[in-house]
Amino acid sequence: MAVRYEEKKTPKGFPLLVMYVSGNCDLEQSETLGVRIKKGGDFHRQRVLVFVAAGTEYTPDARKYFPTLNEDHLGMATVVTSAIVRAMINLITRFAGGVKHFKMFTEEAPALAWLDSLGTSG
Amino acid sequence: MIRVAVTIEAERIGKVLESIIAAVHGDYGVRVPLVEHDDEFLEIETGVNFLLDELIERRALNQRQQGALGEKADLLAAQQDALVEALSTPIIEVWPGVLALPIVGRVDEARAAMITEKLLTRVATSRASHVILDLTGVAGVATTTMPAIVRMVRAIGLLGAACMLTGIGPEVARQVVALELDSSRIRVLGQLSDALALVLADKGALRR
Repeated sequence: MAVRYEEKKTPKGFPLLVMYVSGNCDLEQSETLGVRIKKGGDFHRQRVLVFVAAGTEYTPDARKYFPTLNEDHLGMATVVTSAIVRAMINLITRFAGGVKHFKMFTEEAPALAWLDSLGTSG
Repeated sequence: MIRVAVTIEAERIGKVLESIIAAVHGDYGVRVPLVEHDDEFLEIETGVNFLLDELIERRALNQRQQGALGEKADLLAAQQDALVEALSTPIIEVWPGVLALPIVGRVDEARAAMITEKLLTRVATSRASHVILDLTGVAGVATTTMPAIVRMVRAIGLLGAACMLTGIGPEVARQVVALELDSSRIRVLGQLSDALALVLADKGALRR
């Protein structure tokens, strides 16, 4: 399975949606994140932590979809260890003309610290 | 701004160029092999692959659109053919036993054959005694037009019906002369109404 979720709390106790992505991520799988964080979703305007495994590929329509969720989360931290995946995500954000409230990390701890530093939702 | 000089292996640059050259020739399948080099050139390599994906998607979209357009064009052509065929042979029974066929547009061998076939069938089934071919609407005259019409007139004659031509314009008249067609056995009148008056007079004489 390319996408799965966990519901957690940040070190400071804020609700956190954790998403794990691997393999070939298509539009249908990408849209499952939209269901969770768009208006009406259980993590709308909350913090999101994404782990993207090495070797992950995004289909062209998935690449265009992710930046459209920009306003639906308070902040999205993405933990990436692969240089190839990092290059892909960098391009995805560049093609979208830049993405707000988004940062990439190589480790989980600074990612969580950044998410905790964000203002509270709503 | 900090400038960082990065040395890129010639092989990596070569692979990017291979992909670009293949894409220029329409082959979008030559992807740049990605290796975990943590440098900015990796984004260029990845970007080329993204671009290839976009090109593949757009080509597929174009093909789907072309297919849909082709289907529409085929449908329109079929509808046009049906319309042209219907309009090509508007045989009207203007009086019992009297058929009139106004011919519009160009008449080539194929159209003449189609008109002849329909007209002969109609003459036979309606036992027509007179046929009026009105050429007022014949604008462009193919070199084969008049010979085809003359053959049509002869074929009608063989079925025992009298055939008259009306509405011959100057261009058609010139062609009849130029082709040295034997028009002596073809009755020619100025207008459709002239032919109709003549036929009705004939029919009135028959009744007497």
